[in-house]
Amino acid sequence: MKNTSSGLTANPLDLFKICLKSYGVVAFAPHPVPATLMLTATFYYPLAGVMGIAGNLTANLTARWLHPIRSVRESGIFGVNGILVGLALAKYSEPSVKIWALLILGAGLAGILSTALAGYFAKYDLPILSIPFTAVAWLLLLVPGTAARHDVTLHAVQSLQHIDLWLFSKLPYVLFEYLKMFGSIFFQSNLLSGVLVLAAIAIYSRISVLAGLWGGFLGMLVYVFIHGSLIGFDGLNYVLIALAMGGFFVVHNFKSMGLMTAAILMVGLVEAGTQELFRSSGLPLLIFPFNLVAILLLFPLKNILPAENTTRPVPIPLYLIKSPESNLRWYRRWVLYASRQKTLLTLPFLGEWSVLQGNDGEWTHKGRGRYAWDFVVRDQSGGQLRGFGNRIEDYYAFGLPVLAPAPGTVYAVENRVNDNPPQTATTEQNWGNYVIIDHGNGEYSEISHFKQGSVLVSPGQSLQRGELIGYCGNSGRSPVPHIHYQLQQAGRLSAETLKSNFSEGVVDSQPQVHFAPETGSRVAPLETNPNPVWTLLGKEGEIWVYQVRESVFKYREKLIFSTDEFGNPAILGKDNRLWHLIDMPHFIEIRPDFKTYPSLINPSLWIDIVGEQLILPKILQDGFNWKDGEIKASVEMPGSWVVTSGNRRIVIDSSGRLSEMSLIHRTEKNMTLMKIQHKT
Amino acid sequence: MEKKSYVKPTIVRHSIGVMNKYGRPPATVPMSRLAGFSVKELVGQYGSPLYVLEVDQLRQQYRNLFRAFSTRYPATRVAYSYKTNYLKAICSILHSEGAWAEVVSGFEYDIARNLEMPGDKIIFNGPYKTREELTRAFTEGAMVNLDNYDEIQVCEGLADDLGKKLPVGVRVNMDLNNPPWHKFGFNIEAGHAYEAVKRIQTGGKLDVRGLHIHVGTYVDDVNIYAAAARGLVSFYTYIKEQLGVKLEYWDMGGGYASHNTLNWAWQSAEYTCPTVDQYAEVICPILLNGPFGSGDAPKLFIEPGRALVDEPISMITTVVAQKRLPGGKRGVIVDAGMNVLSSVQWYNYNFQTVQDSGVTVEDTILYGGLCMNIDVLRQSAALPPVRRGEHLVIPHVGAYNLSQSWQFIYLRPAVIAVDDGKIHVIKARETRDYVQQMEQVPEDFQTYRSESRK
Repeated sequence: MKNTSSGLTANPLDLFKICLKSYGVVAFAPHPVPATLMLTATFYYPLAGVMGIAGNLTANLTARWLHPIRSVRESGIFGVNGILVGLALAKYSEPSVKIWALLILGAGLAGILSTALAGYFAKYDLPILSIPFTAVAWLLLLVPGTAARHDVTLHAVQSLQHIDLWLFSKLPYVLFEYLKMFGSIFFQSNLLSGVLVLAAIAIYSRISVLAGLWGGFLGMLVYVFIHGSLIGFDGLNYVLIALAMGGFFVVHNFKSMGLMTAAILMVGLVEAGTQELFRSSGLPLLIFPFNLVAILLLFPLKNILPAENTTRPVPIPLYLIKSPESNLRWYRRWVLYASRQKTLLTLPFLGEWSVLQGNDGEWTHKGRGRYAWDFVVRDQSGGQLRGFGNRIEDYYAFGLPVLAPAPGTVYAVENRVNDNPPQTATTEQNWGNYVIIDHGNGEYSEISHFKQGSVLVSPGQSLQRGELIGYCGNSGRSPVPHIHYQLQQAGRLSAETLKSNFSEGVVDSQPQVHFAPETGSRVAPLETNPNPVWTLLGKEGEIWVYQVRESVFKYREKLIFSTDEFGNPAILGKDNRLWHLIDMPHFIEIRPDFKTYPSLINPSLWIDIVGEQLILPKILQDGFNWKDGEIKASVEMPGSWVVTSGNRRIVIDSSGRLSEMSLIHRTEKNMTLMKIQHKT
Repeated sequence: MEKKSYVKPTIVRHSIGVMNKYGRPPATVPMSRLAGFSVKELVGQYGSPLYVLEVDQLRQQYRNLFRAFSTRYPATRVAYSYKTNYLKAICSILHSEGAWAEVVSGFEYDIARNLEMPGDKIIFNGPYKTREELTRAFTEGAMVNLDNYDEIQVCEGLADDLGKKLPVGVRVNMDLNNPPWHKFGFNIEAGHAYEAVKRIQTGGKLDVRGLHIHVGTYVDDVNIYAAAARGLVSFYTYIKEQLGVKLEYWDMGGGYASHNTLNWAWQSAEYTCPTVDQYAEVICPILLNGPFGSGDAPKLFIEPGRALVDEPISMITTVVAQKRLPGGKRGVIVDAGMNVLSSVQWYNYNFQTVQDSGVTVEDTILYGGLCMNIDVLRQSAALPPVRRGEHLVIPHVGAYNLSQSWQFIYLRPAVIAVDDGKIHVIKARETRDYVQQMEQVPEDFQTYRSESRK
């Protein structure tokens, strides 16, 4: 192998890895372990196995030579087409020097065709699947003297063949055919290969293996329905379409299961409808029905927007695809972030205030302005004032400091409107004195009714969270001194309000992480935290390495602590994807970089476990509720904290550093134990 | 009908007027009910004199104060000044509202711990702390504010013993009022405070985490607090620059006034006593100019005592006699003496009648019941005629009167708390056994025997 690769690749080990991975990609399981099993499965007929390797190498080397994009080059899809050329030639033609020559030429051609097609398909985010193989294989089989006119006699490994025959005699015919079908993905029509391939798929993905089994079963039913018997059944198209549509190219859910089933039936239709055509030309059907149906279904899903108010299966961007399970994780996170409020807001005042009018309020918070709050200060008995209330200064809220709810830039300011006497309001300058803050992410904060002349900031000025921006007043449409707050989607006055939450507060004496207080509730911001959560994490430039065990696989992942372009803390996760760490006093929120959104690939197990928030145990002592469930914190060793929440477990060691995290259970995969090593 | 006691007739000029340049006319509206209960019945049940605590009002005082400061400063803590009134029930109510304990002696520290206040919610001030008390405070994580060099010395020794660097606060004072309060801590203007902080930091055994200032007592001039806050900010800025000190807290102490008129004031406290918002309004913005970012302001402690407990407690007394003095002035003797109303040396207490005795008032001197010439409760009060057996209510007596009371010739009265229409006795009336329980008579000492029995 080294000899073959020299000159064309700098790193033979890389080439080896890609070639190995290509075997997995054939059955949508791109990982060395299942790939090894599948490679083994092709050696039932040793000659076929060798031809597969030859085709694989040729195609991958061609791609390496031709294709400019490394990630595509190394995706293994070129190898797939090469492997299949090798295996198909082994199955359909008698071995000879000419066939070997055709194999090398054909695999090279498959590589070229793959490159060309990949470039063309990239525009539509479509996979090339095994289309190049199908075309090249037909071409080769049409070369005179190539396609054997009779059944080819391949020499199998003797002992294996005995086992196979013995099993054939023992197992029910249908079951034998059923299991054998999985081998036919690699043109290996024998039970042992089939079981091996099935096992490889099962190791890689539970969703895939169930989809494949269902596809094979339904395929058999369809075949029997059309042909009356299983004679001549070759189920690879059914299995492949089930694997592809069952969760690999489309997010696995009920809708995708419907799509998958429909696709299987369509494969049956294509197979039945083209059978006579192919028989007369002497060409095998190969993987034509699968490729046709898959592309026909994926094209509209990926390129034509759905009609309004309809839902349909969700296709996954090609470069994100790894496994049905990772697709599922990506999709969940995508849904989470796409619908998210981007700015983390803290209450724009100090101490306890009451909500006079909440969202969808009684008086003014309606329609486009529905997501707004009015805050006033009340005493124990609910009164808003001391004395007689004939002076505006009698109101508790009047003159109290107003703070920036989140970092941003001052967008607009009004500071000249008079303060109304109590219980009168002007609708001429509705908003009174106001400050609008641009948070730099398409979200704006609008804060109103400042005391005349009290606004301390001016447009263009940048603000930190909690910075004093002015004092509460009674200007504009304000009968009593209050703070009006809304998050809105544009910088102009009266822009449409956005549904939003505040973070880190005490609502009716109950600490909350995120909350949208209702009319009548009393809210207060949490005090500043002298030990911010950030201290738990790495310093800039520090690298964390940890080991992940994912079902039977173990691998290492690393995180690099870094900063984004504004100098704020960030993490470079897997594939150099940037995750912002939003440093709140009491927790850290980990968010994908919205500029690269929606490229939310499976970030790394660490980010996966932390989820969106990491909360300092210090707060847990004060009865802090984590929104996704009850947190149990305990001190196990002197000076160290163990926090469990839901299915997470976080250990913070005596130096106050996060030393270990694990996910006790998860539905899609069993991912456990990580020991974090700090490197600088 | 009960036979009235004889009073020698006098002619008195009526003075019912509207408000004049000296303030409001004396209140003559009788106050027959206190905290929702008939004064007569309360006395009938719990005796006279009697302290009555209105729990709801106490909570309101606390919340009001906390609201005023917490809506203006990001991290506010109220530490209740125990010395003002350390009845367990009162401390408990305030702790249940979230107040920390501010103690100035080992005894008070012990009260707080006995009430299950964790050590790290106790501030230990005061000029006299024993080594043992300091050891306990540091071990239990209390905030200790140091007053003098001797104390620094002791604490450094303790740091050696405990084998760790101890966090401390430093008490400072400034020339703010007249006469200035120089007793507590180190003076800033004279450079003593800077020397002390430098001394502590270079010693390496203690670490300055806080500054404490206490500007006085019953300070009704908010400008004094403003000056103190400015002083703290500039001092902090200076020690931060020079010595790298980073404060975790600063403590503005206490001294906030209550609605009691001082006996040298010429206007009623109703007009002179600032609201809690007025105090907070001057203090907080100045402190927020301190040398720190918007996210890490040091905690602000305030240590109110009087402003919390003075007003929620009233005292019911009973008239025991009235007499005419040689100058013609009327004297009224009530059953409470200055031993249970020690603040009469500061305050012109308001004596409210309970029975409707008409609007005719007469200048009266109020005597306490002690057999001492100095026992005068108020030199001059405008009172309508009151007779023996009638009650007078003295509002706002919660501060210091209980903790500074002394037992003298009478048994000290009970304290009841009215909470949500229910009465709780929070301190029973003393008994002779209680007063004498620590006493012993050696057997050799002979008790009285009549001459004839010898």
